[in-house]
Amino acid sequence: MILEIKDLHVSLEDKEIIKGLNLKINEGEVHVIMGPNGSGKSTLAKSIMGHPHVHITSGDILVDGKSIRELKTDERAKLGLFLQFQNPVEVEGVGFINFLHAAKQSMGDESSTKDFMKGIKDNISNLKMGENFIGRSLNQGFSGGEKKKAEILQMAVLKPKMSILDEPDSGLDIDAIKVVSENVNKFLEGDKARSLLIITHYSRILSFIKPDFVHVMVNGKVVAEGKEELIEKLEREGYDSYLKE
Amino acid sequence: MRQYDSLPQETSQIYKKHFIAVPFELKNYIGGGGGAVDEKQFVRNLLEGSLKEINIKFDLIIGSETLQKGDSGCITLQEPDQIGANDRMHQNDDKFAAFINANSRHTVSIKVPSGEKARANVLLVNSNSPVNVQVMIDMGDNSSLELFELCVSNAGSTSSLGLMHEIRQGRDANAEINVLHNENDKSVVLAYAKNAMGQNSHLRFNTLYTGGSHSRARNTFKADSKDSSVDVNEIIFGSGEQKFDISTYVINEGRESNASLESRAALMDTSFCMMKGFAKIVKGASKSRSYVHERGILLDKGAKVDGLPDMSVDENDVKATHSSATAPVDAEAVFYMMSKGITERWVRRLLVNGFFTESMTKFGSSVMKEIAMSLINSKLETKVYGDMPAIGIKDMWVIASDAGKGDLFKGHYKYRE
Repeated sequence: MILEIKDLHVSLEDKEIIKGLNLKINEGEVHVIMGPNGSGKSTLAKSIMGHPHVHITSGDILVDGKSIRELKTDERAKLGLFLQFQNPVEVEGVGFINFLHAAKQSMGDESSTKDFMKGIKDNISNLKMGENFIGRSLNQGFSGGEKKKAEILQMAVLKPKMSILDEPDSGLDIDAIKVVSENVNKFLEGDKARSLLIITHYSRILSFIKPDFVHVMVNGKVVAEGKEELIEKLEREGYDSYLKE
Repeated sequence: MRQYDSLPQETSQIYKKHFIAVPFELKNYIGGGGGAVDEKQFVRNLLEGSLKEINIKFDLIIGSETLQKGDSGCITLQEPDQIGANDRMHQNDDKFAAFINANSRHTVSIKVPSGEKARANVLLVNSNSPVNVQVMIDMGDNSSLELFELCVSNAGSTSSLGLMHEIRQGRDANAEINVLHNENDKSVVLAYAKNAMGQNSHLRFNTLYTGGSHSRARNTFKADSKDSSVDVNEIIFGSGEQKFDISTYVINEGRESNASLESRAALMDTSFCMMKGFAKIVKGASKSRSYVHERGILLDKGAKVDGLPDMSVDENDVKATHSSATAPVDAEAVFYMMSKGITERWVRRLLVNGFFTESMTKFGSSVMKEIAMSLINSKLETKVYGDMPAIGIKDMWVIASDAGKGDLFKGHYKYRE
């Protein structure tokens, strides 16, 4: 899958958040978008997935050369896009397992329930999660770490072509970051065509997941691009120099 | 059979005052009237169709006439000429009960002797003409009863269904009563219940309302003996222009008694529900517990829930709470679930099933859960009610609160490979 964002302008509640953003992610690439709070990173992720409150005023989002602007959120997911939420929504009563089974079936997977269960058990073990939590309501009562791990579990089960991880490291302790990173790397190794877009404030997770490209996003635009050395620069100098520009 | 307009002025006025406005064309069918449906064929189709899969044997089938009497030991049917027993209901001075009583042609008597266990299934069909039934339950000490009542009617016919329960339990008696209302969209549904409990007895009363054009319930449940408990569970799923007027009292009268009411309404289109839940703990019912929870979810902009929880506590040493909350579907939850590939239609189904999950745990048997969920899901998909849909849960579905206890996935009542 090739994801291409062309001169994207996005408004949220009549306020322009993204102001002409360009980005291209090819198959098998790992990209990172870093930036200060309020720079529009999460809005970008929501725009790609078609959040109903996010309005694209101009520009386009293309998957394999075709615009997805008119597609519903579930149709975008079926193309192979996946969003790991920064703050996963809690849904009372809907069992995590029921939700995941519905999602798996929606993707056209016709594997047996037995295989589905086995896949979940294996991933639970890999993510060092307690088995009981998946019987609980979707994200309800999950700790911050459990929520993030539950999102990675969904990614591992649904096997998207392009995963957008919105702050996969926030709320995780050092050990949990390592576990999450290992599982993300393992997922990428499972199919070299899988690509990744990580949105983060911090560089810690990037010591485990090596990006091919780094983008700095400030005030709705990409203001700098580079490779790993850019992460080191940000670590040393912070975002101040970009905010002053 | 009386016509509505021929009722004594007092009765008809009271009826008008407290009922959600019943359309004029339906009023004639409350007291009498009906259609010309081949009722026996309708019942045959039910029994040989969707109901066949669940393998439930009905001890009694009541329509415009008694269609089937089974051989269950505990259940008997009294014909109109044996109406003397009906007076018990009539004497309670409740005008609404008196109304059904005046028009009742059937009294179902269920007697469970001390120390015995009984199970009874009743099918009520109001396709052809009004069906008004009084169910009198007498349970001896240390007895148990599981009663299932299914109320259906053929699409197209216009009629009413009145269903009254009077439950008397001895000491240590345990009863679960499940009433599923799935009458058609031209039916008026009237329900009434009251009870008396022995020491340390337990009553669970589950009601599902999916059918009926206008449904009105007036229930009074008392935990009136020491250590007795009553647990009332109301599930309402409305669509179209359905109207529900559900009023239930739960009263603690016995020491160390428990009384609870959980009402949940999910509404589509322009349907409307009044949930009136009243809890009362009387003086002397010390160390009692009571709660009233009302929850509503609005699936469409035109739907409306009026939740009216109320509580009156006249004793100090008790635990009591009441609450009410209604909200539209959370757009963020819909986006979250759709972002994982689930269609909006399926998301609604997940949300509705999830909303009722807690209520489903109150059904003792998995068959009851399956029938209740099938009625809900069928209506969600087709908005048709009255007849019986195919019974069965297509998807795997886990009662979340039951799962994860011990073995992984323990709690699935439907685990299919």
